[in-house]
Amino acid sequence: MPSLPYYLPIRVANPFIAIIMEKKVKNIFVQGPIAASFVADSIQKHNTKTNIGAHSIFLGQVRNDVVDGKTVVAIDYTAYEEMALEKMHVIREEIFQKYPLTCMHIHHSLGRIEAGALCLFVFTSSGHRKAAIDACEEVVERIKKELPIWGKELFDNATHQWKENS
Amino acid sequence: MEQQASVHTNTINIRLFGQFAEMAGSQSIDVDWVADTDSLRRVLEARFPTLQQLPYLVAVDKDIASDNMVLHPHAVVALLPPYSGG
Repeated sequence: MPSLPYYLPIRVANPFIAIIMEKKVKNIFVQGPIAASFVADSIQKHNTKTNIGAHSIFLGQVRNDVVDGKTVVAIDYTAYEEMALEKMHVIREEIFQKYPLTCMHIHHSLGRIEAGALCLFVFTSSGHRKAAIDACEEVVERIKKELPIWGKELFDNATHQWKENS
Repeated sequence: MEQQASVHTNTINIRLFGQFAEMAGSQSIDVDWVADTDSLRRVLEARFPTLQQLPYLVAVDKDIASDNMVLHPHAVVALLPPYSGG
């Protein structure tokens, strides 16, 4: 049986390839709301990965908070995208080191998202439930705490306020 | 000394986000060159007193300056209000 040439790691360490690998920062941002059908399709796509035994999904939905008698009708999201993607890349690597995950998918909305629509979709999968559940929770917490994303809450009387994560 | 000064530009362009961009009515502002992030904070808080009441972060080359950080001539500096993603 032919074995892998032992010099393979040296070839992978080639600076040119290293640059390509370095650039593999995944985009998490989507313009507008996340459709429920997109979530369903994402789940469906995993049916070929039969080593998965558990999925954990977190969906963030825009809530119609009432502040001083004004109701939030939508949130307008903006981000320092380059920085957020770099930070997310680090978080992703750390989560994969910490938990035995099969895969992880993150989608965050930008732009105006109406109350009731989905603005965050975190999807982790693993062989057994605990890793998927714990990783999902940790990723959601870290996204809220560490990613430079801002939500402007738009009220029904055309005023607004800047949201702040607790 | 002269040679070192010539490397530096006279101003720093600071990227603004969230309510800071809204307050300034612009995605960035220019301030006179300062050597480090502590000096930058002092300059900014004098020019925009609102910053004294708002917790904010300074990012240098997409990293949060948690301590005082020296600014290099091509540093990408950004002013970040409290995060509210998710």
